Amino acid sequence: MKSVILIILLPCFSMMAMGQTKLAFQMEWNGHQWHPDSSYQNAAGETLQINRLQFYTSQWKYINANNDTIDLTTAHFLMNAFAMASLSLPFDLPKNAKTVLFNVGVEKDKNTSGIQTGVLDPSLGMFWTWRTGYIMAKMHGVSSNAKTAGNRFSYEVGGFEPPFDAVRTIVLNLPSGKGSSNQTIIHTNLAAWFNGKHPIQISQTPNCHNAGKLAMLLADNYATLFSIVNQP
Amino acid sequence: MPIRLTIVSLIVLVFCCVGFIQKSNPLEVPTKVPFTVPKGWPEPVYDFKKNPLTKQGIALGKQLFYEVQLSKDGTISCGSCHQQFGAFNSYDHPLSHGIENTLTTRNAPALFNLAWQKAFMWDGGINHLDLQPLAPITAHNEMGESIEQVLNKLRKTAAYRKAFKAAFGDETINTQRMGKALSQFLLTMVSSNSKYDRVMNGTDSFSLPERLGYAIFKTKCTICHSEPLFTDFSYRNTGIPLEPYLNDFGRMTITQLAADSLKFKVPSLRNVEVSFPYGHDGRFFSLMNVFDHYRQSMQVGPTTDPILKNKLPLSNYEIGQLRAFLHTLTDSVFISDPRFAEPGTNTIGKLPIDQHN
Repeated sequence: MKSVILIILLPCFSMMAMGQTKLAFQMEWNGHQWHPDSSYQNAAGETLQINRLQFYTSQWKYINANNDTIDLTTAHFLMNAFAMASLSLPFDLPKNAKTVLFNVGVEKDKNTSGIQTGVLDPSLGMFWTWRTGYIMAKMHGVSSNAKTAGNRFSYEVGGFEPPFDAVRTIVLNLPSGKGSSNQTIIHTNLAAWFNGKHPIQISQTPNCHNAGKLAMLLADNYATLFSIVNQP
Repeated sequence: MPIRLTIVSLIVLVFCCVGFIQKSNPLEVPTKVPFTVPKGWPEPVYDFKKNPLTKQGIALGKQLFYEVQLSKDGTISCGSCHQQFGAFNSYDHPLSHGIENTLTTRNAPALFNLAWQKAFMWDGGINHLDLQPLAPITAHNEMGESIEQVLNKLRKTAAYRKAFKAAFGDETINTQRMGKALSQFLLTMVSSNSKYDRVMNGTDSFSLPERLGYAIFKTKCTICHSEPLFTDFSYRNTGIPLEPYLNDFGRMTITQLAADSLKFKVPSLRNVEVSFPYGHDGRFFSLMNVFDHYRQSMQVGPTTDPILKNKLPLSNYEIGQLRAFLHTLTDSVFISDPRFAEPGTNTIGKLPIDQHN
């Protein structure tokens, strides 16, 4: 009887010994928590309010102390800044992980093999029907600087084939000795959408709806949104 | 005594339930349908392993093809712009009509031999047959509906729940299944019974003008319109000048490469006699318009195909023979096959009045 209990408890003990943490995205604007009902200023001084923000993540991996790269999951996730639950990832990240890696976007294979299901179902609106391809990330909003109907800006970034492949791999080093926290926050600085690598002005380019040069600039920018910092 | 009765009734009840479970199973296995590759044709590019043809899947696809609920206001089905008597093109329409008095920007292509086609649309922007129907469903100037709404309408219809169950094993209705069912129907639309095919099979012979036309065709047209599909599926600029109201640059919109400006997919010439008007925007109303374009009015620009840099000289004599040959590509079996016909129509077998050729 004792041994049976041990067999049941052993995995629990070893999990506790190794330690695991969950990952969750937190939407921010230059270090402050982002609120959907607030207006913000981008680097170009344009005031804007975001009313839709979604992006795919996939190919989640981590690097352990032995420098082995290990797959966390093969699943795709659709992160939605307006749906808190979508921002917490369901898998466990071992605490001995030094680095976590993921892609923003959906890899070529899923763009070239017909209709997918689940979070990749084209009915979710993250897919171009007029030309095949996932919208890797989208940001919609309003800004008085947008010289468009309703002052709307609309960035739908996609493209899976070189030279306009909008998938970006994010590599985040994890702070060492981060204690007993069961959640690791991926700070997501939405301000960087407009200046992470290239300056994007709503007044100049309020819309992106195809693969190409503009999509690549925006993709370079969204590659810089993410960071994991030491938690107090 | 009451205990015995209870036990007996329980046993009977259990047996009844088990009987129910077993009863419905054998009916739910979809009936496999083989896909036949016409003699001498290449292997299809469609992956049938991922979507095997079944009687139930094809039937569901046909139902969806002629389903007006796919459009926002319930007025348009796929079959509205893809009409069988025109080899599933838009009969006599340069551009087809969408909901609410909208017009599309391109000529609805004839539909056949889709199992051999790698990419769809005049610009090749869609890379899988299953995905193709999502474009007209969601385009504001075609069916104008969201995928989610289409699925909701189908889910509310008992006949569709039953049909999806028959085709796929359960009542789940999602985008993938809708696309697969439509593909199954579209894949069965093989056009390989024209006079040309009978001549190639040795069961018929060309008349003199047809034979002369075939010889001219082989020297002047087959580089792009290669047999047996009568297209090489490449994208080419054939000197069709930019239409200033449509501003359609074709392939370049997809690849973003200047070298692809004004390039469009080479259309198949099978059923060309019945699939007028011609060109990506339907600007050519007759075969004569097309011949005149090639020999005279085409505009040679930087991306015009090198083989057409001196246009395509054609004498009146050659045009006459070529036309005779092109008419042998009409597949009267295909355009009147009841397997593909809209349910309840009685136009089967009647050719449209040819106003232009």
